[in-house]
Amino acid sequence: MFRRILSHHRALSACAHNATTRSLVTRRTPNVPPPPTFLITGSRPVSSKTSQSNETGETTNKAKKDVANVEDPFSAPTYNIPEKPVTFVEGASYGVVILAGLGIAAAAGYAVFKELIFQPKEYKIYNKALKRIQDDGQIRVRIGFPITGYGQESRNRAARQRIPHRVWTDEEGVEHVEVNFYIRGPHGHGKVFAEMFKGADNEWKFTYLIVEIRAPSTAQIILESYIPSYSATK
Amino acid sequence: MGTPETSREPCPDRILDDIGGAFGMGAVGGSAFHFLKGLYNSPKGDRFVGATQAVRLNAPRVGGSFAVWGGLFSAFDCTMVYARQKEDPWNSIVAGAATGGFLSMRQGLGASARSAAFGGVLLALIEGAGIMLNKFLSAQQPMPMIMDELPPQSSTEQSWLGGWFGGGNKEETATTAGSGSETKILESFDAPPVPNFEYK
Repeated sequence: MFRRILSHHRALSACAHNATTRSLVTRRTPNVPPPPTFLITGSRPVSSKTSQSNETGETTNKAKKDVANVEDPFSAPTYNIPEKPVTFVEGASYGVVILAGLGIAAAAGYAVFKELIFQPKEYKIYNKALKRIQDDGQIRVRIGFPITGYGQESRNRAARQRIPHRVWTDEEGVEHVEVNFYIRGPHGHGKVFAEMFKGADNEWKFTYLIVEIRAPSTAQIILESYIPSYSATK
Repeated sequence: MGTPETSREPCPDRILDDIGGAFGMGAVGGSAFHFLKGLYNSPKGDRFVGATQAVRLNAPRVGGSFAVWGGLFSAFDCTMVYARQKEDPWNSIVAGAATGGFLSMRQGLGASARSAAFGGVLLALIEGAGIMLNKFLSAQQPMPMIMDELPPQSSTEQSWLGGWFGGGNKEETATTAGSGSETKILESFDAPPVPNFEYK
């Protein structure tokens, strides 16, 4: 297809070239006869005037023919199609669509970040409780030192990573988060029950932290138990 | 699945389990995909033969690729569990990034970093979706618990004891009802036990 188009273009250019050469040949022939006739008459000023007028006429004729010849190859209909610009309203609507798409993407990104970067409450409580247990000597003596914590007693990765939790608010508007998880060490394993609440200073505090060791021997250890400050007026 | 007392740490054996599971997913999914692709690309009259040939050629390759990815992901996940000594979604995200980066290391450091970032983002989306799904599913349960928590609030001691016994009874019935199926066991929440103040 490209070869055909190129050959057609070459044919068009060849025709144009032939036309220009023919016009030159035809113009050269009338220039030869007029000088001898004027020389025969012998009137020099009249002959000079007439020659000047003839020359101007010839130049105008040449210009007209050249313009006509130049216009012919470029008069194809494909070059006369006007390109209308997009109106402002149309462009604005496209911009609105783009902004809507970006808004949806930003909302999805924010949801993901909210769930992961700003950690959920149950994982925050789980991390604090596990660190407290790993650093405690009573638990370390019973089940050994590298203590691993996981959410469910299962081989499924998602189940082990999910922490059972319950979030509730008491009558004073304080938020409480309860979590259950399992711990396992080299010598035994157990289950942990922990609850924390957000205190007045916006810090999480333990309400209770109970470790129920089930192996190698059954034991129940209360590591944290919240005692509110006593005031005689109450 | 043994009893909790006899079950071991799943991590070294889980790698082999995940290799088999990933190969299964890849082989079955690849078979379905390439069957339809072969069915579409074969000439009329030879569609079934073409689809069968496409499945025979491509399904083992797709299964192998999935097995490699799953095995590496599980190995990195177990490494993270051992290093951090805790299990949370960050292990999966780091394992996904490490797997993507490791599999593209042959193509250079830039391509490796790009694949690691892509793997991490993919696993972050998966974990985020899982957490949001879990939150949505568990959002329906706490309503009756809150209602049960409201009545025992006359005094601090009575409310404390009432909350303990009421919660315990509620959760005991929930656990006994939930012991029938595994799904309910996963969704159940055990109430803290009543502490026996024996001297140890």
